[in-house]
Amino acid sequence: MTVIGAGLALSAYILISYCIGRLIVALAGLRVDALARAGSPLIGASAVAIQLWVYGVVHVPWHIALLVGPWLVAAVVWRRRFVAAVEADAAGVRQLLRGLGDLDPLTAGVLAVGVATAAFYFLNLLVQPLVGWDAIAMWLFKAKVFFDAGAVDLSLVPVNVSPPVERHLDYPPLFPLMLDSFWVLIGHVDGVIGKSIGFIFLIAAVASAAATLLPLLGKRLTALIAFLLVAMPTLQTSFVLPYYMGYADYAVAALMMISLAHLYRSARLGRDQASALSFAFAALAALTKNEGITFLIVVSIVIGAGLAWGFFKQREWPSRRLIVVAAASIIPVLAWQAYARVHGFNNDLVSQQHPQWTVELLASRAQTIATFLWHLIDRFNDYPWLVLAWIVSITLAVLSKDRRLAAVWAIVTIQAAFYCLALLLSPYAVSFLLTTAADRLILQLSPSLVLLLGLALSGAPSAGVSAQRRPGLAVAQP
Amino acid sequence: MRVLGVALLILWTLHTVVVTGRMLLDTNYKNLLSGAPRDVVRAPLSDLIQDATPDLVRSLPARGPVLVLVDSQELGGFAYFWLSYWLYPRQVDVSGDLSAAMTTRAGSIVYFQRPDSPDLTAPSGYRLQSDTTAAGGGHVIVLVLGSGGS
Repeated sequence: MTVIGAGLALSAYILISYCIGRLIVALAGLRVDALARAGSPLIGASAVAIQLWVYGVVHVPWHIALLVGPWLVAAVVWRRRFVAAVEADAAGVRQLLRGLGDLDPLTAGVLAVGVATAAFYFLNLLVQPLVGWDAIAMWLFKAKVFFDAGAVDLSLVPVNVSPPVERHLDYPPLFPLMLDSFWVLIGHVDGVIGKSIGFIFLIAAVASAAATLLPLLGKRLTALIAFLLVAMPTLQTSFVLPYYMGYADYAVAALMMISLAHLYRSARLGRDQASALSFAFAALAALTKNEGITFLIVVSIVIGAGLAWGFFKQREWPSRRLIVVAAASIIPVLAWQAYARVHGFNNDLVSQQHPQWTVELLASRAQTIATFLWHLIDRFNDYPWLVLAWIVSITLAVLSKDRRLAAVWAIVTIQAAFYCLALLLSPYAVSFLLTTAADRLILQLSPSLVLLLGLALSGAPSAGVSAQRRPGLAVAQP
Repeated sequence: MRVLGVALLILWTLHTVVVTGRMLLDTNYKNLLSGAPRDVVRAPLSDLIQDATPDLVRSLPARGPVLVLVDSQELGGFAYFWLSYWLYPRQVDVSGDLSAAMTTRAGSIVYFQRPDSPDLTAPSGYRLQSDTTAAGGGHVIVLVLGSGGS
């Protein structure tokens, strides 16, 4: 496929995903704001991926007509609602574009470099070869197995090969199924352009952060945050280095960040649409990589605390619609976990032989981890900036007494702590893990840390808007 | 404190502009637009294997087991993942031992023969489908069972 053809195919995939996501949001009767619109491409892409999974279960062939047909029918049946939604979005985009004329030269310049960088990523994703180890060994291989079987069926994958290889069959299926839906749309398996679906996550993540921060920070600072989310070196590995293309780390990073954006927007934690969408995106993260499972658990605890607060203090329950959204989100996660357990696809922490854990060994591993992370910090990467963002965020959260900001900070911190714990207790040699995975684990947290900094700046006392006066915070007050 | 936070954001942006700007300026867009990176970036395995793989995908029987014989240095590396991905849905068995060809029941045998590697004698029942000389002087030999050839 030519570069232009591949570019058109990827654009069509993103556009179709957006339309389907937008249709779902409209039909679900959810209140639509800029943040909901920004997440629509991922809602649509995930829905189509899960649709393929269901088709496999009920033996419906994976064919483009059968994949897109139901959504076309739904769009025709509910055409007024769908057309109104698209027209409203188009009007919003036009308004946004008109606003670009009012930008000061500095902001316009930063945005221009950001757009140029994103365009470079787009091109680069399409033309670089498929050479990434995990991309070939795991993500795209799984996608190919699913595509060939027309179902989520890993029974055909040889497990006892010589020499032994590790394919991590327990890794969740959403990313490979997204690849499959792209391949169904283009009619054949193409690993080179398949790996480019990471671009849809970039668009949704940057748009979600901008939608969250624009009303809070204004154009100039929001533009800087958006630029960082596109161009920061830590994230470039997914879009510039062929050896990291086709990995799911940026995907889970984007989903976690969007979940946190919705969580921060929640005015009645556990009982409103923002909480439901936060839970939904956390569930998608759990369906993308195993790291997302701990994230989902922590987000569930935070939302559950809000739910309990609302029930005991105000006798308020979430609406049936929100319960349906949450249930629809969690069912695929539970289904995959059941499938993996039944077929014996266990996580390495469970399935591999562990060393004899002693205090000395743990202390030695902890020292190795700390030393490695310390030496990662240099002036050519973002790690010092990420650490500073983390420190500034908690300081501003304390000063502003913004509990939602503190909750977002706590979730990111707990997730980071989980990564350190997993490195510490992994059955593999810690030096091997650090050299192969540490940068990707930091990548997973990076968008959330950038968002966190933006939220912290918006909630600071000198921002001109008191934390106590901002909508939604009242529920978080004792 | 907010001033410090904004200062952090601005300095971080400037740092990123410098790092990313250099990358954008150093990129050869003509090569990108022509798709040339596909010929430049290599997977972590020998050229002998990766250069021949696309042709193998087209020439081998679409399904069934394939025995792939490689240099023993390739074992434990990326060769198995690479070959099992590209050749799927064929069931790939990778070996560094030429004698595996005598006991296999696979419908096809592929031998990536380096210039200094020994020759492979076709096992009984197999016939030579192709013997392609690679750029480095190696050979890619494909044997198929008598009834399964192209």
